[in-house]
Parts: sequence; C-alpha cells; structure tokens
Amino acid sequence: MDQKTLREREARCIQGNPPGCITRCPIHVDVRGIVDSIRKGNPAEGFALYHRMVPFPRIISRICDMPCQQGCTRKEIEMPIFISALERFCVNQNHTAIAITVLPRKDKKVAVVGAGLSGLTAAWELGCKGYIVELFEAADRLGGSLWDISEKMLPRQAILDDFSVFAKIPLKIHYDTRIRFLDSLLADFDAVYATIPLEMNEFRLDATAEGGIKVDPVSLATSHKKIFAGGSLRSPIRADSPIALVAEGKKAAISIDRFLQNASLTANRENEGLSNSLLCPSTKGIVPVSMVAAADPVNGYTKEEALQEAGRCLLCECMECVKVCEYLAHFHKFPKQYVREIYNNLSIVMGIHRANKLINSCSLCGLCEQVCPGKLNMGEICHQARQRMVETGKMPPSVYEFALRDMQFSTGDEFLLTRHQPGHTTSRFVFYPGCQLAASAPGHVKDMYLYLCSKLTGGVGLMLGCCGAPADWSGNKALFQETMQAMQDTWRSLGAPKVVTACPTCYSLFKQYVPDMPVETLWTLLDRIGLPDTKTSTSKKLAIHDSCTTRLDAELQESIRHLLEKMGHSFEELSLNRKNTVCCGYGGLMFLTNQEVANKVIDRRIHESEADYVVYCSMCRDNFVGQGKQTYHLLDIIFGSTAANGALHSPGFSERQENKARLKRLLLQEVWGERMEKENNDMKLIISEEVLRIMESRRILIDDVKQVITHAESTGEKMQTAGSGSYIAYFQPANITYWIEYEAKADGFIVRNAYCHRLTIIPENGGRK
Amino acid sequence: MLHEHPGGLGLTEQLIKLCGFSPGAKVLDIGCGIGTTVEYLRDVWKLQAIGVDISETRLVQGWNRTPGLPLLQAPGECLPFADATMDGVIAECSLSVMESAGAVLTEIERILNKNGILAITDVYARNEAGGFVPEYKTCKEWQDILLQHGFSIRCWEDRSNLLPGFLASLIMEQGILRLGLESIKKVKPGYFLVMAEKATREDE
Amino acid sequence: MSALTEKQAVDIVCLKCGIKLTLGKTTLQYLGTTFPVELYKCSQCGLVYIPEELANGKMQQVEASMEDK
Repeated sequence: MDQKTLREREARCIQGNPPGCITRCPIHVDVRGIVDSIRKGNPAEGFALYHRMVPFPRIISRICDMPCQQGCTRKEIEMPIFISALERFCVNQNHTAIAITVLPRKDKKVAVVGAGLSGLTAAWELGCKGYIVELFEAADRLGGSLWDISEKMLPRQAILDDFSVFAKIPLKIHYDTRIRFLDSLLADFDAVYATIPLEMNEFRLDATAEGGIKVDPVSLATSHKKIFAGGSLRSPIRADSPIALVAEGKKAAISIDRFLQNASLTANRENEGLSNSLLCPSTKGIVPVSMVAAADPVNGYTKEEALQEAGRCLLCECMECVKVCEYLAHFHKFPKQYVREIYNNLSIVMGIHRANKLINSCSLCGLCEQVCPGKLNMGEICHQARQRMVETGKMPPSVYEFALRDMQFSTGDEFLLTRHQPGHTTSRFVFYPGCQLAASAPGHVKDMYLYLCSKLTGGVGLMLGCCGAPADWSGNKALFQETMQAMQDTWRSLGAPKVVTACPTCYSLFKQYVPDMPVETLWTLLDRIGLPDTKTSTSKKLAIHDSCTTRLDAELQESIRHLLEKMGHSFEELSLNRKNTVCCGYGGLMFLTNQEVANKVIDRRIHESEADYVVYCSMCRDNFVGQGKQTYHLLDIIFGSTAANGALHSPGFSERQENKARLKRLLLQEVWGERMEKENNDMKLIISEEVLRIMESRRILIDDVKQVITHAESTGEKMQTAGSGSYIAYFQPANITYWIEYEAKADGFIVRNAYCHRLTIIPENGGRK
Repeated sequence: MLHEHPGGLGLTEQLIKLCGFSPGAKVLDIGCGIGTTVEYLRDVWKLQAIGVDISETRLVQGWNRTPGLPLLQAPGECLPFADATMDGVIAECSLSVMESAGAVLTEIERILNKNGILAITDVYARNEAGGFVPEYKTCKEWQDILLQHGFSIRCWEDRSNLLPGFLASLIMEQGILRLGLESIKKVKPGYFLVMAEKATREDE
Repeated sequence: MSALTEKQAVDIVCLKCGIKLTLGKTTLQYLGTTFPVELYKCSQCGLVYIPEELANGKMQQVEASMEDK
C-alpha cells in the first residue's frame, strides 16, 4: 500500500467526519457532543463544549437562529432537534464561573468600531489573544441591537452577565463615541475592525457595485490592509442571524491576528463557515417522535424535557460496517483508523508489528463494502496486506501453519483422487466436492456422485482435492498458484470437462482465477436437472444462511430457494442475507487465527432467528452446529438425513482428516473396485473426551500422537516420573514438537495429556531429533 | 548457565581478540556480576583480570561458584584503583545500567594506562519511526560521550542480531510480564561493540 | 535462576539410560535465533524434559515476542 492508496482508502471511510449539525453551524459548535452530554446526565460537560465556541452563552442560547437545524437528520423524519433549547438548558444548569485563559499581552493595538455582536466577539477573541483592544461604541451600552429584542426572550440580566466577562481582558471601551472617519484610528492602531457604515470618501476603499465597501468574504479584508469590515455592515440579512454575526467577529479576529503576525490572510480557511456533512446517516426504521415543547418556554427545558428532547437525537455517525461486523467491532475502532494501522504495520522495517492480529482476523468476506457509503472493502485490504507480509517474510509462521498443513493433507496422496466414471474413458463433467464436505459428510459425497452419474450422460469424473483457498486466504500467492496449477493440470488430464463444485468457495476461486474453465455449482445444476427421489422427513420452516464467498451470485442464491421450494420446505430470509450475508467464521481462516472473534460472529449469527438454519457450505454447517445451532446442509435435506438425533455433531480436526482418507479408500473400493494399500497404522489409542478436547484446542491430531508414541516405543527415548506409570515422550515431525504423556496397556495406549511448542530443541551433537 | 549479557562468552571472545592484550595484562571487568567473564579471561587468556560490581549478592554467587575469584564490591563511579594502573577495562552491558555513564567514563580514563583499551558491548537506540526511550543512547550519543571523556574509537560494530536470543533467554527466566517488556516494545534497541583507546595528549 | 520453578523439580527418570534427569544447559531455537536455557535433561543421552506449564507459558511468550518482529 503506498501513500496515495492509503489516502484514497482513508477518504472512503466517512466515519469521524462531523455531522450536519456541526458543519452547518457557522462556528462549528459541537452540537452532537452537547446533546450526548445531556443524555449522559452531564450538562456541565455540555456547557463546556458550548462555551468553548460561543463567547456569550446566555445571550446566544436564547436568541440563536439555529442554522444547525438545516443539517439535522431528524429534519427528514419529523422535526430537527431543538438545539438552542438544549444549549440553553446547559447554560441554565451552569452556576460556576467560566474559566477564561488570556494569553500574554502583545504590543499591538486593535480598534473595534461598533459594539454589536460581531464587534464584541472580535474584541473578545482578540483580547483573549493578548492584543490591546479599544472598542468604540456610539451608544452608552454594549450590545447594539440586542437591546431591541424583547425582555421576555432576552432578559436584560442575561446581557449584563455575559458582558461582564469583558472585565477579564484589557479592553478599553469608549462609550458615546461615534466614529465616522477612520484616519485618527489608523494613526494610533495597528488594525481596525469596522462594523458600522463608513464614510466612503476617505480612503477610497474599493466599493461594490451597490456602493457598499468591497470586502473579501474569506478574510473580511478591505482594500486598505489595516481595515477589516464585517458584521451588520456587510449584509442586512446577516443582521438577522446572531450566530452569523458571532462567526463574522471570529473571522475578523483570525484575520487581524494573522495580519499582525504577517501570516497569510486566506490560507487554510476552508473549514470556516457552513458546509454539508460527509456523513449520510440512514433514517430507515426510525419512529417519528414529535419535538418536545417546554412547559415553560420563558425559562426553557426542565431536566426531564431536556433529556427527552436529547433522546430524539440520532447521534449521527456512520459505523454502518461496524454495526454488521463483529470483527470490525472487536478492535474498537473503525476502518479509517484500521487502514492507517495496517499501512503503518506494513511500513515498519524493524519493530513490533502491532496490527498483525488485525490483518489476520478478517474473514475477507466483503460485507463491509456492501454497506459502506464509500464502498471500502476491508477484506481486500487485509488480503493484500497478508500477501505483502508473506512476500517480505514478515508473516509469523504460526498463524496459518495448521491450515496449510491441513491443506497439504488434502493435496497429498491420502486424499487426492482423479477418475473417470467407471466404464468411461472420457468425462463430460467432473464432480469436485471440495475438501471440507469430504471431511464432514463423506457419505454425501459418494451419494451425490452416484446420483450425478445416473443423471448425466457423457461421463461424470470425480476429483478429490483442495482448490487452494487456505493458501489464498493466508496470503501465500506462490503456494496458491502452485495448487491452482496442479488442479488445472489434473482437470486437463480428464479432458477439460465441465467442473461441478459443491462448495461456493471452490466455485468463486475457480471463476476468478481460471476463467477458461467451465464451472457450475452443484445447486444450479440440480435446479436444472432435478433432485434425487428421496423423501424428506419434515417440512419445517428453515432460515437460509447464504455463503459469503458467493455473495454476488444471485443466480446461485435463487437456485437454493427453488430447491427448497421443490422439496416442500418453507423458508425465511435472515435480515443479513444474499449479497449482505455474513461469513460463518471460516472465511479468511478466521476460526483458526482468531477464535475469539469467530465465536462472536457465530454466536450473533445463530441468534438471528429461532428457526433451524439451512446452508450450502459444509463449513457454515459445522461452525453453527459447533455452537449448538441446528443447521442442515442442503445435502442433508436432499438425502433425507435430517433426523434430529445425531445431527448436532461437528467433526474435530483429527476426525476430518480421517474422514477424508477414508472417503478416498471407500470410493476406490466401492465405486471403482480398486483396493488401496492402507498405511499400517493400526495403533490403538484410548483417549478420553477431555483429552480429545484439549488436543482439539491445541490443534494436535491423533496422527501426531501416533507419531510420537511410535518414535518413543521404537527408539526407547521416553521418560517417566518416579512413582507414576505414565511415560513422557516427545517428537518433532516438522516444525512443531509434540509432547505426549501416555500409558502402555495390553490392548493399546492410553493418552493422558498432549501439548506442543514451536521452539525447537537443539540436541548437543547438532543433528535434528 | 544463562548468558549474562547478549552474546555470552562468544561475544567476549570476539571483544578480547580485538583488544589484543598480552598475557598478564591487567584488565578490569566493570559490572562483573557473578564473575563469568573474569574467570574466562584468567583461565583462557591468562590475563590478570579483576572484577567490580555494586551488587554484593551477585559477588557472593560468584564466590560460591568459584571461590577466590578476584572480585570487589564498588560502584562504577568510584573505582578503588590508583591512576594509570590498568591495561584494559571491559564493560559488557553494564554502562547502560549505571546512573551516570559520564562519571564512570571519567573514572575509567583515570585508571587506564597510556594507550589503555576500553572495550564495551551494550544496548543502543536505533533511530526509527517508532519512538524513543530516553535511557538508551543513540550511536552518535555513545560516540560523543566517549570522545568527550578522552577516548578515541578504534572500532565500532553492530551486534543487534544477538538481542532476540538474549530477550528469549530473559523471558524464559522471568516471563514477559515480570520484565515489563510490553511497554519497552515501543522501540527496538540495538546492540553494539566498541573498542576505544585512551587518547594520549598528542592525539587530542 | 532457572526457567523452571522449584515446584517443577520433580524426579524424572530417563528410561533409555536408567538415570535421573538433572539440570543442564540446553539450546533452543526459533526463527533463526538460538539461545540457552537451563532444563532438566539426561546427562547421558541428552533427552530433555519440558513441562506443560513451561511449553504453554513462557515458551509461548518467547514465540510470540519473536514472531512480531
């Protein structure tokens, strides 16, 4: 990932951008934050947020014209939040003196002409920055047209209380002083902010067509470098918007501050003023609730009313992907941040790779892209990151080792099988059941193969093998290409028949990486050619869980529904279905790299509906069954093996391997009449349920145990605790050293314990044990 | 049994070879711990090696292992030797754990003969984007402090590849949490070897 | 100072040589780095004993610390 790609991806994630209430406030008050504070019962925090931006909280909260409401999502539902009333509630709750920070005094003097809201704000901001400010006001009081507002709406005391802060800054106020000519001011001051009409014939300030002073909208500069102009002078419309006047005053203060430090007046000022939010919160399913009216409008909301109105706020943000994905939620951040972490992780030459877990836990399913307004695909990013890590040697070997070892078995002699249909020398079709179906439901493989042979003409071959998905998912491009190539070679050796896959993942990988190979899923095929004649046991309602690797294949998803209908089953759709389906936890090898997240994923999915589930991928079935959910593979229903007893079993790792090997032997014998020489590994092992569970959690296979015991018994290299009957032995077949505690009995070996580690013991003489 | 410092005696051997001491040379091991290096220098290289360490516990462990080892208890900042009495000083992963490397270097300079050798192996901070730990000096800071204290550097070599093994040994001994390693992970330290000579007046 | 705790100083016999295991220096290796550890081993044939707590505890910590680099 280069810098450019990083920024492009980060930009797609809009989370973290401010909502409309903030972007449409001319001074960007943190409205969402204030409302959230009220909901949390902390109006003091709300007040602090409000006062950070608003210099005159008592006044503004009563008279603000709320342009923020234009950006409120609730506007589309019924009515925007009554934001100023909530702000006023926070102001009312505040009884502590407002803390002000005044910077050290600067030796520049600024004149502000006109003590209306704009001028007062500018005077305040500049005074806090340490400038010496003198304010010139024609009347005998501050506030300008504020005094024209009714007492009921704006109590006089509120005005006086807010303006009492001016005592805290070095501000000299000239009351009863009307300024008509600026020349005297220009001599004594370094900058001037004028908010009242000026005589035009003095400085020949550039004028607009209408005869007003030409003022730069970004900086409020006039054609005289020292003179800035704004406030009600600039636009009579603006005079109706108190908050706009405040914004103007702030703008002038920033400009004057920059001017007096010889900085650019216009650079980096895009964030000032109104804009539209980049967020696009969904209004789906939100029940309209009318705005809360204060029982006593003069004094504003009570605590209960404020809480109720604040409760209407949607606290707009995006988080659409996090809402549907347990993996994204698990790391407590959101994609914009994840992308940056992954980029940093890949850029580290030496140091700790903190984001390894993040990169290796994603199921690569792409659901995020489907729900993201910017179509960001975390799966794509993680997949590429894994490939990069493998390329640069940064992928820790332990992460995917077990998966790749399992794949090695599935592409090895004990499982690989390629045959034409008995009695045929060519194949028009070839059935590719996939490695996981063979591991979990070997009987179905045989039954379906025989059915296809009976239904299709031209010869139906069989290929047992692995499409290489574990290599692809683990980022191992070279190994994946090698595996795909081997598969293609085998396919060609059969005469390049049409490939019929039972597994959606095999299907999606073949389609993507071998586009010349004609391939169809078993399901669309069955939908066409018809189902075998087995009576289905029940016709209870099933919920369909779609496979994630074929999320965009609408035709396949339809065929599943057709098949269920044909078999007389009624079904329901889950809320996250079809192209928005969730991965079962197998994708991306999540269940091996991050059991914790996989469990959350499965737990959430199986509770989405009370109904039993139907799936069309063997791993989806095993993952859900593994956590106690009654789940049928479509073949279970087709072949009528939906009996309730014995259905809830998910085979462990050792059993899966054994099933695969046994399937090959079985098919060779029963279908092709060939006898396969079985490896003489007749060692009898007695293993309790508890020890089997331990082995399963430590990814120790029965085969591994046999290898250790065989080694120990043949070499005599074993140990024994004094007083115990158990032997302790160890053996390192490949990368992992396995330790077995066992007892030898007449009829076999009892396995008491099994553990392993990856650190290798170096024997003294230097050779490998 | 365990390495006392990254590289163990294997690295000590490399260091001594670089220094080129004659048999019988008087060499001080500063931060000698249980005296493994002192013993090694005496037995294998026939040097008149002495060790100092601030920890009485470690010295006692050393004497229990090999009674009669010439080890003294003293801080690096205050060495119990007269001026110009040592041909060499060795500091293996010890300067970085002393309070004031500068004060120790002043003492070392004092007790070394003219052209005496100072050999150091220690941790340093490699500049990288990960942040820095103030206790680790960078390569430049090490070189500067040696120059300031009257040493001229004859040889500097990076030995960072020894650190993972040393870290692994430490974890095996104490476990990762005891070491508080989680927070130190912010920067990847390096390990270096330096052979410096006490600069004569003419060199300065 | 040992990788093992006192609790783990058990009586283990090497059945090949018929003698008790004693503490000795062993070398472990992972990802290209070797380092010494003190473990119970047979002084005659070199057979080593690694208890389960060590394999699942500190050894896993070492593996993880070396993999993240």
